[in-house]
Amino acid sequence: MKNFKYNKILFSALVILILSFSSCKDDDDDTISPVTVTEEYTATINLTQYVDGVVLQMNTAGHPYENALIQQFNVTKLQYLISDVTFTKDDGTKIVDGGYHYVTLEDSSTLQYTLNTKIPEGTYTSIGFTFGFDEEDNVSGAYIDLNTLGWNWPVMLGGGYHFLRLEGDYLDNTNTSAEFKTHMGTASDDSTMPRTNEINHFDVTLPNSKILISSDFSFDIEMNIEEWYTNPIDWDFNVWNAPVMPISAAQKALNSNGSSVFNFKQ
Amino acid sequence: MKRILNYTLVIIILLASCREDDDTIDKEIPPASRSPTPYALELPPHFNYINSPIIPVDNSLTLEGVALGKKLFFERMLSRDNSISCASCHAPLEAFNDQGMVKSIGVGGTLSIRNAMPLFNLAWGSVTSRRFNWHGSVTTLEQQALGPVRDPLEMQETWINVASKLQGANDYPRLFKRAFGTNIIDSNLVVKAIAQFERTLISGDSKFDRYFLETQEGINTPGDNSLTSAESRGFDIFMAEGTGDCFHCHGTPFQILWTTNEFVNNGLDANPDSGLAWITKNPLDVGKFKTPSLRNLAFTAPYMHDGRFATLDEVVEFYNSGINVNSPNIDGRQKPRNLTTQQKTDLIAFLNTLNDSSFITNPAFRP
Repeated sequence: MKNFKYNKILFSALVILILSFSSCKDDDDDTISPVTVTEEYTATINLTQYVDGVVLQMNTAGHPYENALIQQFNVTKLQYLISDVTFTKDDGTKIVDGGYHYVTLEDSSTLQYTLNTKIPEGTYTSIGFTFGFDEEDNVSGAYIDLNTLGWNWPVMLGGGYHFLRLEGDYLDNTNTSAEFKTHMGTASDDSTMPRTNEINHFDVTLPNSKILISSDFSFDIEMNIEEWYTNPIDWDFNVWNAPVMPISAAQKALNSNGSSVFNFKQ
Repeated sequence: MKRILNYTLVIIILLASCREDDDTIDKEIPPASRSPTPYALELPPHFNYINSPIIPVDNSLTLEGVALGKKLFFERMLSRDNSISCASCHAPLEAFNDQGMVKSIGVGGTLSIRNAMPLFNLAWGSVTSRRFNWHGSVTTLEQQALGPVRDPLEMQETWINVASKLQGANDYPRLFKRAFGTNIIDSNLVVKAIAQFERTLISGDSKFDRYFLETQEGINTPGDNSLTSAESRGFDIFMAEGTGDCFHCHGTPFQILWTTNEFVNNGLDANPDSGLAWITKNPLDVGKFKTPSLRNLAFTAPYMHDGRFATLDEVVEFYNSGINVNSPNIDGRQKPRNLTTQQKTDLIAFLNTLNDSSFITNPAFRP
């Protein structure tokens, strides 16, 4: 009994001793080792942009790019939003990072996105994400950083946020330079009264994105800009230049074409 | 005995384990009686839709600093002949704009090159373009306040002289001591105080603010703040890409500031002023100027960086039919709007819901 008491005191002292060290932040790492079954690693995504396999050049003289209808264009602005990056295993298990990331080519710091969620080690059959916000996330006014940027989608067009702003100039059918503003968000149809609004995000599963994760890692999500304008719908700049936000058919065309826009690279 | 020994040991370890931190705290906290009092900005409730105000870590707001900044803002000793102060060109009743002047008049009647900007909601800026002045010449309010004093077209004074004049005045050494802990006055502390005052100039109580609070937040506000039919139609024109398309540059109700703070060439001239390119030396920035907020337009005429438009009718007509589409670096969103007379009237009716009378009459912003 006495011995038990002594041990109890000794145990209490030990607990207090450990707590006393852990109460000072600097000492944490030295004294307490996290006990984990599976290692978890940091994922860093590089957002890259190409046109016909060549790195996008912004604000070029002339109109160096061509869409599927052989209409020449350049790019002066590119901004977009991705969310819910997802890692899927063979057995269907998914690791979802619920965050979002806004990309603007005017700020190079936005071209890299480090996920808050650490990804457990293992082999994943695919990586995916949502282009824009899904219905649950696309809530008007919900994100203060995006509000500050003025990234909102008008409430009268269904609200939420822009998913894409891709702007530039094209040579029109009179060979004159004219502007296009390919903005994407909720698809709003004005042929009905009141307008009917349809969610317009799409989920991307990056092709050939099988990955073995055994350390901190990074990969590229490549945007192939020409694909916004073809596969399956050839986009005619003479018809859909600007504005396209209130044109439901244009919004849905971007949704359809978007499925072939992104590639994986590591 | 062993038990007592053990407890004693534990207590000693407990005390010893955090000693270093305790010493640090003792050194960092000066006696309360000598510290300036922290100043908490009072934000309208819907300002929680945007990023927090940006306050530099080396110039946090204090009651003493803000009060000193206000006194300095109205202080004519900042000019060469003690004739003008900051408020001479940034008057409270005009939302801190220059009383209808196209270009402001400096000491001795010199004419400045640009229209004086109104001052409000300066503690916010967009992530991608946090610069001040029409051409983005500075990135902090402290830097901004350095310029007009020594500008040969404005106050025409040296900072050495300003510091000397203030040092010799009755009140100032004591007020600097209270605000910054030293009675030695220099330009650095003067601009810090002025910047503190400027960050308190918050405008968020227009009719549209109250309408937004009631409809979006369910907060009751004084008076009838429902939009008239014309104001409501004008808002739709503002928000529609196919008609006004104003919101891409000037923000949405959730954006609160009514400017994205971006630098844009809106197509005023075929051969534009260098604008932002004067600072960045980038030819792609020629003609780009800071997008101003659309708050308080009733108090801030004339409009544009050179004050070329006397009325909102002229401004709207410019965006409707007067854009130079071949201006270099023109923003892709600029195009003739082709609005009807009624649409233009409605748009202006909406813009006037962004006027905040309580801001221009706020006694806290008066000398």
